Amino acid sequence: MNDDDLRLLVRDSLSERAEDLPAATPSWDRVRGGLVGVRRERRRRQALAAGALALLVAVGVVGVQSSSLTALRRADPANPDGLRVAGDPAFGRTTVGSLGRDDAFLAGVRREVLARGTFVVETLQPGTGAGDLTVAFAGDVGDVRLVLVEAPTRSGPDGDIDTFLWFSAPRGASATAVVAGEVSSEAAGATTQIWRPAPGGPATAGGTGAYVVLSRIPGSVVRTATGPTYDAGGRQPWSVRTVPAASDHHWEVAVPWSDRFVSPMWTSGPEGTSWSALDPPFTDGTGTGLLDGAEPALHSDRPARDAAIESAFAAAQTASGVPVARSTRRLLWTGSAGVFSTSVVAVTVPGGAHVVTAVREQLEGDNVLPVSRSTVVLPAGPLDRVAMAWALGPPDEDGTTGLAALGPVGATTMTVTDDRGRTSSETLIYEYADASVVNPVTVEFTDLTGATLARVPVTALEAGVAPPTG
Amino acid sequence: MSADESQFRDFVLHRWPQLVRYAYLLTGDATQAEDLVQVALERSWRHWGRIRSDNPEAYVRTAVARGAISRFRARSRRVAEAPFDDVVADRRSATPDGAQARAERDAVWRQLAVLPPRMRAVVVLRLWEDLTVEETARVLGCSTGTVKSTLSRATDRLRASADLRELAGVRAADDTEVTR
Repeated sequence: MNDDDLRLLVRDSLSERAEDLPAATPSWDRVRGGLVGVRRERRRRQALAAGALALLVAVGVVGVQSSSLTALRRADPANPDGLRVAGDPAFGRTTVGSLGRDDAFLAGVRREVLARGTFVVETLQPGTGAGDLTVAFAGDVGDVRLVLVEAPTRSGPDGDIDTFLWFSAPRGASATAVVAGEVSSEAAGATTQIWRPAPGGPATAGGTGAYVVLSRIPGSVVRTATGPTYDAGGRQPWSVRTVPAASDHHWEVAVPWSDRFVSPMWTSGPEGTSWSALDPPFTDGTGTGLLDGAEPALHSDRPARDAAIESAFAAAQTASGVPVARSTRRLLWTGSAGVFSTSVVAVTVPGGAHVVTAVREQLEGDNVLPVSRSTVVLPAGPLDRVAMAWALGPPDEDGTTGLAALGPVGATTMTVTDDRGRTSSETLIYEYADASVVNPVTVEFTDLTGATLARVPVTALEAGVAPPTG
Repeated sequence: MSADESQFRDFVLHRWPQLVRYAYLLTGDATQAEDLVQVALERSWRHWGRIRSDNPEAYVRTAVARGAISRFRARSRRVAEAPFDDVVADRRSATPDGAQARAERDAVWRQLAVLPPRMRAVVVLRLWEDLTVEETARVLGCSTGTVKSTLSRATDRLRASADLRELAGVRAADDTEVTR
């Protein structure tokens, strides 16, 4: 297949997928609600309580026969190989969960939902009756009582849709209290629903949270990975296990906050299964910010106070999985060239290891747009001994790569060795330098006397957190 | 509703489907696509007064593309990706007569899904959006040389995929059969 044929095929494939995607314009109210939702979600993330990364949950899909995302999103719960009939409940009419057979409770939930009528930005369609509401899940998991209701809601002038409403309250709460409590909404249509734990939420009050997955995609798998983030050697001793299904289409896991966790985002496409995680808690509930009390850069004494540096800290904190209160942060180096800003920061986790992240960003007015990011995890040791070399972008056609390096305090020269053993040297300023090098492999840092202080491999572009293993 | 909000509303309602499809091709995930667009729109609204008279769509598309390739996802961070081994079926037995082209497009889509985000973004911007090398470089914040080399590597990877090679073999065999 020649280049032209291949590119034509790629173009056709992309066009076909784009056309297949049902991307109907929502009503303005819904979009505006979504913008509010983005802010709400961000606040929710920021409110996550302190703790060490300990539980990572992955939801994988295997054995899906269809390669069409559209078909997956429309899969009939009763007949996964066919198309879902509009109006059918996504997860069938049977309620799963520990309260699935508590008819009085379920009737109470329906009654309270009808009485309330409006949830976040959703309003029930006029004429909705109890029979139109499907309670897909109801149960106590951990210290949380969760209820998932699929309800017909109004979507403004563009038509009506079904909406999933998640209600949460403390374990044992009455139907009235549950429906009056926290609610989050999500458009129905997909064949998966996930309740992600919110350790700071009032429903948990620091107790045991809940992680619940409902999926009608055949062969769905839920796995958890638990363990401390990094030990002193910078290793991640993950413990991975498969969560047994609680029914033919749901899984539930109680999450002890003492263990802490990062929960996944569901990816329902047939392309692959992935480990993924919510942002880690950035605050400990006391308002501690990422830049609060941050010392100037270790290598240049430049102050740690702009948005780009905060963004770098956020990236490193995310990679560490450890909240602000249980880690320490230090700006190692920062500088700007034109519209590009580069910052190297370290987050030191309780085990003593350093999660070092180098972020390059483009400043555009008040905006900070990410360009590249690389992270390495280094064993415990003094921060002034940290050394890192990383690619700033993909290599050009001849292998020329933008390379940046930060050496230990006292380093004055970096010597880059390429894949053919050739070397080139650059003078460091504040122990930092960047250069364009063909296929760089390692970087050696030396001081004024020529003594070697460190030798490190070049970290690939956008290197990130290693996946759980085991 | 203020004049600004009215103008922003018109922009959003008019461009929503295209933006979501664009984000979908960049991410391969419809849910992430909507999230990306929402975040990009929120950012745009904050700066609407400045960008409205310039080229707001370019601004939003840049934000979406940067968001797609960055690890600063709106709702989550992807820690690692694993290939979707078990979905691979026998393409020939699953392909009805005359559906060869569709099977090839499916195979391409699967291969695109496992490209690194930046590489995938270059493919989408250059081959679907029809941006020039310079425009693609501007959107992604990299050099034109990087765009060229990334696209070259992406096409190499696509061409090298076992699925596509297999399908090309089937097509060649079919062509031979027809010739006879």
